[in-house]
Amino acid sequence: MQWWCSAQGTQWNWRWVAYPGVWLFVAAAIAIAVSLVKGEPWRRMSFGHRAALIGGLAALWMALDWPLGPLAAGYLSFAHAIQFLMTALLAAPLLLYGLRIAIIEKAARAPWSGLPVALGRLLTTPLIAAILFNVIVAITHTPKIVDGYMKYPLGAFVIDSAWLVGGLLFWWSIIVPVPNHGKFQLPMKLLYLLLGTLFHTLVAMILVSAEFPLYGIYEMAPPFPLIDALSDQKLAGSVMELGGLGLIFIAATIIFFKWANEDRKQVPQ
Amino acid sequence: MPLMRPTATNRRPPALAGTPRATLAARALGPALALSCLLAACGRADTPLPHAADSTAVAIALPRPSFTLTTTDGRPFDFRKETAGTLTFLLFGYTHCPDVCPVHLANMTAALEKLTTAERARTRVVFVTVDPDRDSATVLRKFLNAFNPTYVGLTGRRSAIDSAQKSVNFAAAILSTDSAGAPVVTHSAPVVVFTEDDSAHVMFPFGARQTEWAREIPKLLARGSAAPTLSVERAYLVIPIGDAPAALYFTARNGGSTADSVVAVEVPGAGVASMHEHQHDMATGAMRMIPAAAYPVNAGATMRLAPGGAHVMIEKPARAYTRGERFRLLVRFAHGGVVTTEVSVITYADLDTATAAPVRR
Repeated sequence: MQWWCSAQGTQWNWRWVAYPGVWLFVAAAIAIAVSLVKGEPWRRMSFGHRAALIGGLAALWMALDWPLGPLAAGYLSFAHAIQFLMTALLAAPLLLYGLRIAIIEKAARAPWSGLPVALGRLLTTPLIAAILFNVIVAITHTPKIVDGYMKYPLGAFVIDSAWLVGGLLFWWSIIVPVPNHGKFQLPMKLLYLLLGTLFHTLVAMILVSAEFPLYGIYEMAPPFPLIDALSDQKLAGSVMELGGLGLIFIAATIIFFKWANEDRKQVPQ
Repeated sequence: MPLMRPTATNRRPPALAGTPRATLAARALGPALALSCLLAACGRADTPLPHAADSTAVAIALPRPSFTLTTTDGRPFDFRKETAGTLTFLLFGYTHCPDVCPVHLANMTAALEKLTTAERARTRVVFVTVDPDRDSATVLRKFLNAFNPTYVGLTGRRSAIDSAQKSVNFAAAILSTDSAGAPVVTHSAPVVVFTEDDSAHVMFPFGARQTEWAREIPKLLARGSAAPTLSVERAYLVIPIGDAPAALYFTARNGGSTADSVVAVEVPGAGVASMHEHQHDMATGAMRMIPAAAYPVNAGATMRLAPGGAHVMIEKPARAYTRGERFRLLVRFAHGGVVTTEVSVITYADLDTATAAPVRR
């Protein structure tokens, strides 16, 4: 039994496989979420926040566990792309949105201090977060890293975790105004979203335009019905590009309408 | 001195042994050419994946073999005759193979599809089933059509297929069942590539990436069309007296414009060969024999091995030699690849005749 999904080299079948490490990881995420929202915050959370929190946890679990986890780890490049989107661009913002009220309240009640908080402040600074996210995206999609890490459970765990951490850092300054970056308003946020996904777009373009498969893990994987390695890679690039753009567009739209709504409220009637 | 070894640029991935997708068990099979073949027990995988490497090609030296099997349309197919003068990709596998065979074929096919029509016309792909009981002609044809309808599928009696595998120094495939009764086929997975000079100089074990195929195939095509500039002739082995090692001599000629050197020699089935030369010991005034790393052959020059000078020693003859018999000699050049020639077995009494014969220029 494997504790985390990694490339196995065996022919794919649809028999369910247990990955205890994934369950522990998701259980830990649930435990952290519960500790943050239990009591008053949960009562103050709207349906949207609650749904986002539950949806974020569900997206994280689905991204990491069977069948998407093992498919992404060793069979299909496009499953890997879906997993990336679900972890970094879906689960991360949903979790942050769901925990937003709890985080703001906790920060207001007892201002945080100490080295970890200082580090957190630094890492969630928009510029730093955008750079970190891009670096994580670039490194975790490098063929040598993917081929070298995905064959080991620990390696696959590191990559999956890096996506979640990168996603949380990236979305933090957009969704959670703690600390409050006063100048980080709508136009900056939209620009941030655009620049923040620079490498994401670059990786997608490379995947789509490459003449040969880039990742040995997927090229050498036992064949999957109806799709060859290069088509799979092109599909992965398309999924990353279109899926990523779609999610970013949704986020940008929400930010825009939220800003417009706030602006309308400020206009004297 | 082993003739076949991964070259500096063509190394096999270290983790390929015990590989995946086919539990690739890299085993030296120890046949005539001491060819390092990779066995694949398809469908079983309980070991880590291989580390992807830039290149997996393994240098070999093998003449295009002769074996006759049956095509999927029931026609006898003489491999040597029907593929002569083409860049031929020969692989052994079976259609139920869940991993190695289809992946190897798919990667090779992807690179072949990048060739021009004219280049493509110079290539042949021959797939020999090692599981003829399950792979009927129809099944085999359908399997190959999924890659390319022009691929030749061969089948036949198990003994004939075993012989075909042995002709390229592969061990015969092993058909067995696992503990659950499921069939397990263990077979040599490398694709042996014969160039247009009707020799194989390289084989690609499982793990060869599409980029590697695409890089190497044009080189193999170019190699086949180039005129040979290196030759080895007048090779003879002198039957030793008693248990002494046998000495072998030949003449290497370099008709090219760049210097080369003989770096390895092998006499398949005749014993272990090593290169030596004689050196004058200034202290004692006597001649002494020392190992030679290479025999330089300058551009346009001839290098002649002869008694009292450079020679190849068969230290442990595999058998007793008979005057007049002939066997194959493989000579590897540092840059020019492997040249094959025939060795004549002579006695000391024949030495004068053998050394006096003129060298062709």
